[in-house]
Amino acid sequence: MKLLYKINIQYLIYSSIIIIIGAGIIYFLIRAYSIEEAEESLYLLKNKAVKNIEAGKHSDFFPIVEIDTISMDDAKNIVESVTDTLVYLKYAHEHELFLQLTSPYIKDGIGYRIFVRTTNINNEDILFSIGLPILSLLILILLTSLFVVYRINYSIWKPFYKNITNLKRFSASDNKPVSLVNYDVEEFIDLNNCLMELTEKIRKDYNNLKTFSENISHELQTPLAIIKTKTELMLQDPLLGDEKIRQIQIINQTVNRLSKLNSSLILLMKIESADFAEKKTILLNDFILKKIEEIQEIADFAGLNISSTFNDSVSIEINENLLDIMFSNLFGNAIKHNYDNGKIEVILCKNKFVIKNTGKELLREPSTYFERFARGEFSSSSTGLGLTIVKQICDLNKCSINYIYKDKYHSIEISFN
Amino acid sequence: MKLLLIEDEYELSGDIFEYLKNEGFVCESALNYKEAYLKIELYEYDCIIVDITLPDGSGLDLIKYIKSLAKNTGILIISAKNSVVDKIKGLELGADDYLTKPFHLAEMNARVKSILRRRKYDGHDRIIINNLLIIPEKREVSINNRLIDLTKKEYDLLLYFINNKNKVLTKESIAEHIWGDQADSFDSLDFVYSQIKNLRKKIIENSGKDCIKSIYGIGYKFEAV
Repeated sequence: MKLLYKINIQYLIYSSIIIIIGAGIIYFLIRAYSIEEAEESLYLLKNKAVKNIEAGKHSDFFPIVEIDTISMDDAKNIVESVTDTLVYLKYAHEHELFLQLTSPYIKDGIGYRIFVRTTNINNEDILFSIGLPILSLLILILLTSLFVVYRINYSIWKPFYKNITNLKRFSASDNKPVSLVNYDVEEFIDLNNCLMELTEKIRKDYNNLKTFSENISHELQTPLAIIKTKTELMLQDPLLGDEKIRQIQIINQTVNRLSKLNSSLILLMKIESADFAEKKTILLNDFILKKIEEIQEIADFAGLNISSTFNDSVSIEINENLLDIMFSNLFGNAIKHNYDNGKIEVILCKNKFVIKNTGKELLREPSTYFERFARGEFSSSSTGLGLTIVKQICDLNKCSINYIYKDKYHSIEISFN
Repeated sequence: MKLLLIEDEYELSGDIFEYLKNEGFVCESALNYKEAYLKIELYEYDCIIVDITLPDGSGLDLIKYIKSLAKNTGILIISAKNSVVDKIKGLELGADDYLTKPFHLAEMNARVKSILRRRKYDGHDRIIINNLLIIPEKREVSINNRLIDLTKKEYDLLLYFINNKNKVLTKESIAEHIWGDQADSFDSLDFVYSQIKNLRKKIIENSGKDCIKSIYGIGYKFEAV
């Protein structure tokens, strides 16, 4: 759940509870108060009525004051009480609710029953005339403070969200430190410092490792070159026996293998680097056709038939060298791992490229061939890195790649973003 | 032709030196920046082979220096790093070509000869060997004044042989020369065998001498009289 949403929901719930409780309390207080006041006024009125009786005056004033004469015994039986009562008002032709004080009075042997009434401020009236405005006021206060709290939280957390976005974009191979917005909140400043330290360490370690690997690979090139040139010179000797020739040739071939492996590893490491940073918009249709033309001779020699289907015109933004390497590897594999008189099919659609070739069944799960050194049949002549390189290039350009073996066809599908 | 080889790795320098001497070049070598600087200052060379990673300086600076002396000297960069950035920088500074270690000596030889051809003859040279006449600027090959029709790859193959005449060329170095980086993306050795067969056939059919000999277990050799 999002932070601001969570804060606001909690705030809303608790505030609402408090408001409801508060409103309830206010309601009952007001009601109790108004009842108390009403009752007090009734007693005052009753006392006045009693005084009037003593003075011999008649203070009947229907419906406010109603005095009945009754027997002394009846009067003794009346208990003074306050009740709600409905009184029919002739002039209004309706019943009206009154708060009524019933009191007995005895004077000079005559019993009196005094009804003193006042219009009842009933519950609904309280609710609407007082309760509602107060409730509305409370809700208004709630909404306003909700808004204010939201704004305050938003401005406090805004740099935090920006930093989350920046951190998501961070990668160990970045060549700049991650940019974190500054806060004036101490805890966040602390967090920032920790994150900065952590990400810088990651970057540094990654760079060191990368440089180390690159240096090792480069250092290997020169000794390999020395072996190669020496063996080539040895092969020039016309007096070498067949067995010696064979041995030297094997050394030569092995050195070639080593140096190809080394080059591939170096390439793998370099794919994300500045060497291949420049991107261009390239029309795939033309590029693929050119590639097919390049390998046509080889395919003809191997008896392979290449067919291409272009359903759409597709352009992508990518480094040209990487694209070339990628297609060289894909087509190379399609030729290498094929039968005599086999087929190669190329399909290009709006958002994907498929290359299929006939070939022997795979011994393992197709997706494992993207891992380093996962080889197929031609184990000694391939570096095992071809598909790994292709996958790296795809990953770098946010394309997904899939390899399946179906209906006796190896099929590699690349989906563009 | 006078060549200067600037390479800090002693063994490698020796091997390259020997190969080039066998090719008939007059060679000199320098093992570090300082030595190279002095030699460039004092002498003229037709082509300079520079390793850009030298212990006491950058080969790129040497290239700048060579060019500043306004010499029409060919420059071939050899480097352990296959760096696109270095390559572009080097070529921008005026180098003619860039070769990554490890390389076949025959390949280096072919590149040096190609640079010399361009610089010394402006491409207007002729190669006459056995009874073949080759005009590189037009990529024409004729035998006894009759033009023979070779594909681009067959021409490249023939020129490679001629540049490295009387030297044993391994199948791998031939494959890499013709196909470059793509050589290992398919089974190129069989293909090379077939292309050489075609080339020989075309030469023989046009009454040329079959000078391409196959050397068992290794590769081929172009025998020139």
